[in-house]
Amino acid sequence: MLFNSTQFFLFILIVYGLYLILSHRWQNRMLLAASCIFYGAWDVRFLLLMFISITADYLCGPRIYYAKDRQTAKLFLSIALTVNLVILLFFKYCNFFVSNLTSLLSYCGLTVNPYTLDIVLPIGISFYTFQAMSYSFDLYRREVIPPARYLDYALFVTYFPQLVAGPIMKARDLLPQVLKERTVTVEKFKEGCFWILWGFFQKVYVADNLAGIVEPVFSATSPRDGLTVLLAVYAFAFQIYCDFAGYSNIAKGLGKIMGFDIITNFNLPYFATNPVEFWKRWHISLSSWLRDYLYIPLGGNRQGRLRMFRNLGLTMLIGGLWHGASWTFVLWGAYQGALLIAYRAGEPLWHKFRSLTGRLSLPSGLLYAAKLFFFFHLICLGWLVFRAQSFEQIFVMLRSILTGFLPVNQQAAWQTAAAILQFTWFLVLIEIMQYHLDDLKFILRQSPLVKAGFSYICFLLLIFYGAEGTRQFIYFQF
Amino acid sequence: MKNLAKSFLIYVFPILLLVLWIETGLLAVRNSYSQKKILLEQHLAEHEVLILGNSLPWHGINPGLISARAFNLSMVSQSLFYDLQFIARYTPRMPALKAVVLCVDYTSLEDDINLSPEYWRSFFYERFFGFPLESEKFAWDIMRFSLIKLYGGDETLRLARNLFRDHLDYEQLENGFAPRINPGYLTNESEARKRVNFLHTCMNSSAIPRNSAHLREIIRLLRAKGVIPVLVSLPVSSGYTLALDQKKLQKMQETIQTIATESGISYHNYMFDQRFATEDFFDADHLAVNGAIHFTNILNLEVIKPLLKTTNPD
Repeated sequence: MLFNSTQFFLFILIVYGLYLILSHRWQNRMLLAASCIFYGAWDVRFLLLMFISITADYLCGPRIYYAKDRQTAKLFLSIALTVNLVILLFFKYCNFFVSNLTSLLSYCGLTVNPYTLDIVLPIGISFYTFQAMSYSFDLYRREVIPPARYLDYALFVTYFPQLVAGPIMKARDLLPQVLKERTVTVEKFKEGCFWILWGFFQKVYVADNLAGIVEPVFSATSPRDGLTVLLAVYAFAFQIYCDFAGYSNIAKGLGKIMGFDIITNFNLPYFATNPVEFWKRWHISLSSWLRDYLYIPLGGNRQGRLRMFRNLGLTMLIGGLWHGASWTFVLWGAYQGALLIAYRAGEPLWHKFRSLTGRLSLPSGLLYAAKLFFFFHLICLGWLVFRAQSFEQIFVMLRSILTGFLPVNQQAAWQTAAAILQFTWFLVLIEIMQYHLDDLKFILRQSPLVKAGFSYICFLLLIFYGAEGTRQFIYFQF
Repeated sequence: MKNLAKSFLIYVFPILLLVLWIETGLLAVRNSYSQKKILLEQHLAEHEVLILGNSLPWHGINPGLISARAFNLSMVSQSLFYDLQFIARYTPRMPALKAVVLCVDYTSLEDDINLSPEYWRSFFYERFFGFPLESEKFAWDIMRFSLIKLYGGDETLRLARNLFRDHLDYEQLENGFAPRINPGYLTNESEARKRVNFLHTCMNSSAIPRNSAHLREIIRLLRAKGVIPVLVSLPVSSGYTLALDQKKLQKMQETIQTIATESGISYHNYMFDQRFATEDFFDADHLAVNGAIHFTNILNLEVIKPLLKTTNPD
């Protein structure tokens, strides 16, 4: 069931109606049932898989938290993590590893019969397994207490607004909200509605319309001119951002109207001017998960620069592979790791550069715009790698940009550029204000006239120019 | 609660009112489907010959040239499923009906609405004729519930600006025929290949049993009522025939021939008829207005006249 479908509209009306009249205990039970329906609407078989993970974590939980010594706690932590990792590795990466191993062996002159299974990727598996693993980690660190009721823990993992595409909530953030009584206020309801409307606008108006520009270029069998490729990459930068941020914002809004606080997953990422800042603004729940449960345990930046570079590279490689079983994702992760390492390694140089530009008294706005422009293009290069279907396509597209830039039909390229502007102008306008005021919810603090203007523009663009058809969210495949 | 109601009144209610006004206005706008219904039902009891099929007969058979009162009930991408709905719904109310020309082409038997980008047409059949959806896959599609989404934003706003006084049925004559001018446009081989490649994306060989069953049911219903069905394949351009998948074509012709033989009805295949030249076509597979005149005269002379003679020897 997709957020942007009529089924979901009916579903949420019923669920929310029930939610408002039930007591806390029954709210949780109803939400668990609703989450199972929501997830089971894709494939009911995979509910079983999710409950295997839930049951293993629930059973290991008290043994980790109440263990008499760290060794026992570690043992049960390993068991819980292994169950989740086995599920994730088998369903997401099994065929990838087998086919690559076969290729490697045949490269070495050994012929083996490749044995790949017809495995269907369960939707949202990377999200809920990571969320479940955060529970075991947080128990081990004694940051949460194991819940007494199985159903409460099950709701923590399955809570439908963020089940299939995040944000990945850490146990220490979401579990207490499941356990304690929640309050629904008019202010929370209004804020929730704002996030839902903005999320739908990002998804249905911006992302889905831009998909119509991106898909023909990336699925073309013959090479396109550089300008068309570049415009498609720009369009994809906004498409993937609005697709994913749209989902996260809808999830945040749905949580808010039920009294949950779901973290902000995207904080104006394209206003970042360096990779460290970008990863503090993009997919915040995943980057903070990787930081807390992988980068810091690996040693973080506490054991010298070389170790820090290794940890950064490894974390981003795993982050890339998290997105999917494909070498293009691994390359994207490696590229992001390289950007972070280069930035960290060059930090003394940046400081010198900053002091030099300070002495030249260049306007700070101009300098910021130049950095923004430069870094946005570095991110776009990453998106080209991310979206491409093969290394060959990456090479062909880069060659088009570098050697065959101008198209034969320039009018078509201008039309594409105009379409990108048409679908992004309002988003950019609002985001500039959000950035300038340093407040993602500034609209809620405006006069009724401004709020009404915002609401009408969003609604009207959605109603009249929202993309046709119900397009799946990109991040469901991860 | 009062605060919430006030917010709703300011931020949401005006939009709801606007949407309601537009949806109501769009209901009154005449489109090809609503117009088809009006035209069909105007003289329902008088029609003697009915033409069914997709855009090929819609643009290719002019009932005005048929030597009996005829009506063209075909439409763009109309599948055998909807042909069947028309027969089941309307023939009991058509006492004068003597013959039905069932037009089948290369795509008819493999037609799969689940693959078609024009699946939205089924919402028009549902809304204006009350026919069930051909596929439940689209039961929750927003276009099913909203004419704004069905017509699209630009068209809706254009219609709203003119206070819904415009109509969207530009080409249909009173007898249901939609003539197409500009002969020879897009009939070259590369365009034909493009067209066939597109059609292949909407075709599915596993749909043959289902569509064959619809065709058999149409024939059964017509025969039960004493109406003579006749199967016809319309002429197409030579570039189009060259681009066809020969296996699919053979399968289609064999299946149609089998159905015709087992039902004891005739099948007239004009797909490769040499009497039609490039100028007769609008594009790769559609006849232009002169080609339609040419073809309808042939159809009338070779199929309909002899057929009507058997029903009325005098």
